[in-house]
Amino acid sequence: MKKCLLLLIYIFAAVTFAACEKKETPVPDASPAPTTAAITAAPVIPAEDGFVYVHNGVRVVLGAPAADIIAGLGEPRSVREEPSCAFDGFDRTYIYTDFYVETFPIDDIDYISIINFRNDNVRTAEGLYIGAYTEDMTAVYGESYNREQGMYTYEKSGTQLAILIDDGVIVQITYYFMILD
Amino acid sequence: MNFASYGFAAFLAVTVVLYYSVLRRFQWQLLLAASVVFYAFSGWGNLVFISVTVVTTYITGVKIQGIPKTGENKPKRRRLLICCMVLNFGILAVVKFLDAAAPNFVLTLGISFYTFQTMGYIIDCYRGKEAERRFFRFALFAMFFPQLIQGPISRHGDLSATLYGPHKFNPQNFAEGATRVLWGFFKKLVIADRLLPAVGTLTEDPQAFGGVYVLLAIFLYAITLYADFTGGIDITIGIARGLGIRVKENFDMPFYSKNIAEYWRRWHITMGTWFKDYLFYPISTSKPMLRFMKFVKRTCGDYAGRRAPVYACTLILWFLTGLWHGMTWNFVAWGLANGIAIIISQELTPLYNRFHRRFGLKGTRGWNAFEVFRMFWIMNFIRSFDIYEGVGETFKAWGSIVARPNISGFSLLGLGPDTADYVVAAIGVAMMILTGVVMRRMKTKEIPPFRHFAICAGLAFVIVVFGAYGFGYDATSFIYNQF
Amino acid sequence: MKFVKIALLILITAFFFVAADRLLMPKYMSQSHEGRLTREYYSSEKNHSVIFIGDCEAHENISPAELWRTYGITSYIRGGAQQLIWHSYYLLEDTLRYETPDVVVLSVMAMQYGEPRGEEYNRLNLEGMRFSPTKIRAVRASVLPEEDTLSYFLPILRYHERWKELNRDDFNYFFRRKNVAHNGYMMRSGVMAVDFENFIPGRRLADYSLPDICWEYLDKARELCAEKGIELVLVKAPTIYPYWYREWDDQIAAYADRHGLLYVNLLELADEAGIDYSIHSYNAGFHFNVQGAETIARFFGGILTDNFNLPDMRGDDQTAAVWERKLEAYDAMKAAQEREIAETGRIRTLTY
Repeated sequence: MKKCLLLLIYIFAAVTFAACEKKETPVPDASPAPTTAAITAAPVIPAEDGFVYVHNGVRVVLGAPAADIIAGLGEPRSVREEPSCAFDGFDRTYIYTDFYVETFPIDDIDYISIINFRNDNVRTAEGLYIGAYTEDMTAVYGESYNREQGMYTYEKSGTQLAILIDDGVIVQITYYFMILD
Repeated sequence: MNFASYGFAAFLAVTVVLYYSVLRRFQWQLLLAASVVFYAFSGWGNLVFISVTVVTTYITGVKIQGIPKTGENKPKRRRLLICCMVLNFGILAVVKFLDAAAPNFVLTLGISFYTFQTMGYIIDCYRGKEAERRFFRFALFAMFFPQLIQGPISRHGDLSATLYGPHKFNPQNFAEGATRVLWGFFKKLVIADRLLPAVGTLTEDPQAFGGVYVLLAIFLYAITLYADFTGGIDITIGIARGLGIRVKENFDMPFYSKNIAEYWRRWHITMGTWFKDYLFYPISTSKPMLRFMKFVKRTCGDYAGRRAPVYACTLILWFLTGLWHGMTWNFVAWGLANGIAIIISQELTPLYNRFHRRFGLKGTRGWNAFEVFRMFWIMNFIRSFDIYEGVGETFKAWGSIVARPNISGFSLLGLGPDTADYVVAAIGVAMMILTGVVMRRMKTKEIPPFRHFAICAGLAFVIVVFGAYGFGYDATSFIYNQF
Repeated sequence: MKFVKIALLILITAFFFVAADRLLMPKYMSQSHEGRLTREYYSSEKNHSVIFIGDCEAHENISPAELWRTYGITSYIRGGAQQLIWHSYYLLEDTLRYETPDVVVLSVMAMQYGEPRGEEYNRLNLEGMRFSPTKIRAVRASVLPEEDTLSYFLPILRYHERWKELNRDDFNYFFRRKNVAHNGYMMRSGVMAVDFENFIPGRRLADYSLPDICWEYLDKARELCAEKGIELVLVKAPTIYPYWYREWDDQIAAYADRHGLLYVNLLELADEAGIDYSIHSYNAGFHFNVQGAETIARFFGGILTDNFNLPDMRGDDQTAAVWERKLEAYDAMKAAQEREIAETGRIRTLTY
């Protein structure tokens, strides 16, 4: 009997110690870093399932190659090129009357990174616009936002919709592509 | 603490300096302290695990030795042995199970190795060998830090001959040790880590990389596994050598094997001998196995009766070896595949003998080359259970070699490594083969320390420049670390 | 004899490592010239009255040559690409190991960046620092979690893989490099006017407070200057982009006021400075071309001389001789760039 008990204690100890295992945080893979050439990131995957802006039938998908989308949107009023510090490539801003689209380059291809409304002439695909109210926003997108002061941010499949509200009124709507660093 | 880390390099440097600075009679205590520190770096919880094994094994060994080895005492001695083994193998089994079942579970460092090492010790004590009565010396045997990551699995009788010293600084030992360590890092960082991304790419998507890519995957895996594992063992043996301690070799040019039995006498030698001495022989000479042999003889005849127990033991042994590697069906299949291959090889021996009597090819260069080539590829296929997601995927991959050869679009590029990587790895492999051949011939001839240091300087340069490490590479962990 | 052999082995090994390190380090001669900026400082004479510190708002928007030519002010710009406030602080600390200027001018644009921008910018700005306790502190304050600190001091550990991408520059500039800047100023010619018609102000933010870590390092810079008896001036370059929010400006102005510092927002003084956005920028308002940088230098130099007792060193023969040579190289590059713009529309002369 004593020996069985001893054996049981041993086994219990074994299981208990096994359960006490301290997890070690695995070292994450370090993402590739450039040497002296332009920054090359992981392949960009268009966020088809994320927040998508639709303008005159053209789907402006965040993370998608910009060339065809910009061609579909038509001639912009102006294109601003922001040079990358020290490296090749430009972040570009395509300025349209009612909105503007920003792109970032990887390996000579521009990808859509940001869409920002300039006025209340345009609406999101779900119908929200500058000048609408907080209730309109929650009616369309719900309550699962992150809030930082007046900025309400919704996330969906690698994209963000950032809505700035001032005194209950929407004053800014911006789409962001959540680019991996 | 990973071998390929700055932390380990600093730890080793401090340990070596202190080792040769302290009074020689305290050297082994210093090694024990260093081993505890090394293990503690992997987590204090892990230290608890190994401490349980050390304490229970030590107590059991002393107790067993205290009971005279007579017939009436046998049950008592056996009970002690079984309790100790159930506890420690129980811990190992639970940890292995959790590793297989829980994705975020981090395996206790070297648990397979130190468990087997201590269980081998306790079985030796049961068989009558002298137990280590001094607790801390035993602790050092169990925890000797170079061995903790991936072996080899040492026997107390062998290791204790040099483990406890004292050791005067010997330039020859130190030089040999340094060369061996750097040679290990060369294999690991210049060859294995450079080709590993390709193996990952090829096996993560077997649909896209079927046909000839399967052959490429298992070929590259053979190289990376060998370079990585033997590299780690070289580092272990080199560190021990630098400290004046002799650790058994674990590999003997296994890819030159002509048959599977020979392969397993040359690959992971200490694991093979452990299973043979502590599992195969006891099982094969056990009462149940003898009863089984009699039964088979009675029912199927003499021939079957002689072979059945051996084959049954072989399958049991390889099943357990598979489980030791991992509690997944892949490793079970891997183990059983080895067992079945050994059985087939045994059964075909008379046929081969008849063939050789007829054609007289045995011992000829061409036939030797064919046997080596054949064995290399048989082991590659068996090893492929390691790298595909499941057993089914492995068989599908094999099938695709014939069904969808995929030759037309074949390219080595686009798998991760670029041309330069392959060239460096190829040169590394050539150096590995050449070194193996040269060292075989130079076995008894010592290379003077200065020449060793010159080799070290060259190796260090090649590793620093051509090693696959640093920002942008995966944390350099040894493949067998997970065991 | 044994010792000779050992010494020889050590020397030969060291030679190979040093040679490999030199070969594999990026040269920054054909691209990413900013990588040379930190290192170039050490070969300059260390007797500057004014040190400018900051990111590209510092090193592309003011001409030390023009400051010299107009006011006899000796100056150097310790600027870099995406040079964060903490990079700037440690470069200031590093500079003060070699000299004690009368005035330090800190560009405040980087006060908005409280997070590291990437390993590449850490390397561009810090790798060129000479080994010192300051460099150790700078690296430790800047490295990302996945970075390897030791490789900032043994760069071969980071760049070893460059053996695959060695190019002509690596061999041409193995022994000597050319200069990329004129006392820290990276010259660019060409004109791309600011499009005010399509000017878009910056997107509104939820929170305009500048990051705590930036204030921390600004405080450290201020205290360091005070300790050394150096006047600290804060400056905002008159660049249109990146957008400089009024709310940020107010915070900087309040800080300057609180600590009795001079803060010059050149955006508000652009007209007075004579800046013409139709001809003074080479990339539509992000940075100024050489004419713009000289215009700013003439105006800002006036502010500096009005507020601080800066010596006019044109009367000092030794200093004048040194600057004579600098101006020769400066004017030659300016002429070459202007010729290239006229002929091909792009500049090629970026080093000398």
